[in-house]
Amino acid sequence: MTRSGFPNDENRMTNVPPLRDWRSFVIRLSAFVILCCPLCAFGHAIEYLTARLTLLPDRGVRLEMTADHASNPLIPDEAAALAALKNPLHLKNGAHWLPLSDLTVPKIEHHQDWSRCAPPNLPPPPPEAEHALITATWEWRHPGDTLTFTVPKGNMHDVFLWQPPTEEVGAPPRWMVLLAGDVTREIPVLPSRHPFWLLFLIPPALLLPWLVRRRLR
Amino acid sequence: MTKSILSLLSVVALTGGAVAEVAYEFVPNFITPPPGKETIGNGHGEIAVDSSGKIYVSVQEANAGVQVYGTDGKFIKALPLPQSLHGFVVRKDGDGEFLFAAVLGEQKVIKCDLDGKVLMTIPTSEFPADKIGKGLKLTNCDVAPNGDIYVVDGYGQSHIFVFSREGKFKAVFGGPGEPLKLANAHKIFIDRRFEPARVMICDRGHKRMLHTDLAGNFIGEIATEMRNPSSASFHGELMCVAEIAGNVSVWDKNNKRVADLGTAPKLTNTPGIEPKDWQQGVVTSPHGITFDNEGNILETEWNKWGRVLRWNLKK
Repeated sequence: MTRSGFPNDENRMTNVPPLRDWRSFVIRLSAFVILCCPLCAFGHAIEYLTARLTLLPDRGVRLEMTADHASNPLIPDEAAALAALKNPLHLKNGAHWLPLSDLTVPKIEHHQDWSRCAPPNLPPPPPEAEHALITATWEWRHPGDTLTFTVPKGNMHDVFLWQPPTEEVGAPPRWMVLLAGDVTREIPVLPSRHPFWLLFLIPPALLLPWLVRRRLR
Repeated sequence: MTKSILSLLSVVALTGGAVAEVAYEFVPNFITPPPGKETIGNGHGEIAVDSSGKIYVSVQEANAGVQVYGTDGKFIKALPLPQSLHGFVVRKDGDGEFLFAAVLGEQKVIKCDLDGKVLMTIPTSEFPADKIGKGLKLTNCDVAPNGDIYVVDGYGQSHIFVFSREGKFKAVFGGPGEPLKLANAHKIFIDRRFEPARVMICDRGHKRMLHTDLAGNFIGEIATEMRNPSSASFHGELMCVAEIAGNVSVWDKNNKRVADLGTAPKLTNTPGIEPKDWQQGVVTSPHGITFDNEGNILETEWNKWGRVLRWNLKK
């Protein structure tokens, strides 16, 4: 049996509201990470790319993918990290798969802040671990109602895809691991704040007072 | 469709083996943790069985890096070994039985007796300087029939080093370049099912297993498209494999998969799955594995709380 026969997570990656209080989230995340650190005496190497998916209002999507060229045994240097981030996921576009690289030019950042790359229930690497992180951020307005991602076949880098926790108390982050060829379930995007059909109500609403006044005369 | 496959896999995993040739049944709650503990402790290592049937499990505890259990799964003692025994084997060699271990956090290999007394060390300085790179990240070792010790730098450059029985450097092969092109060669084992013996490499980055001869010459791929093979063990003509993204598989000598055990319904590869989320007979992130002397399978996981699962061979 090949791995392609295995099911994907269908339970945990669901639509969540966008973070309205970013600072609160960061504080809670930091506190949790600090509390967890002593538990992780000697962690694993981080052998996948992390992908933080944030759904924004009005069909907005932000995807932050991070490669660590200090701790990931598959990524020996900066050039390899940038190469790994070139085409890490494909996005379903109708009947086709669209490489992220064809979607938009990502913003590239070099940093060492592991806490923004992974959810608190993924234990951080050991405190002594070195990080050399590169995050590529794609942001776009999605035309469809749902998002579906896949890791291209033949890609060596597994992807840890996660969504930040909601404001709901105790709500855990959603996450899943994707190996080459794996496909996510359909992830609903957040709808537009102002439905399209509202546009049709504007002319009658403007005309109504005029009609009423005219009738009263 | 996906849900149907998931249900089928779960039923297969919980009820036993997958094919008629070989079948296993899960043994719930086999391990009894040390007194005062609810779980065995932070696991990122290996499990092995000696010729008397005692079970050795490495955990990340200072000066108590290996726990010893009886054949009944009850805790006996902890050995005063380093906390980062990422990979180890128990092998008969010469006139005794020894534990050979790669100490990930200390860039060295140790050979000790089964009471944890260190008899020999292969220090960093014994490795060729031009292959050390940013530092060795040794993940496993094994012993060939002639006593040579094979060591892999699995979290480093995936080179495989060969040392004499006395711990003197002899050769190196593998690594990221041609011809093997290894990536995160997580663990290696000497596969004595074959004559002459072979080196079995868990090339986790490429999600494949492969064989070389003892000189490092490529023989062939055993399997591809796996759930990230991390460790293996042999019994008779069978090989069991811990796949860290959530599966235990059993293979015959013809490289045919003959059973899948404990298949996780979702891909894993994280140590953060808490005991409250553990399901009987379903793996989280398998990291170490062994057959016992009767062909039963014991598996240990990459898990902060520490976890060991067991499947008995159905006879």
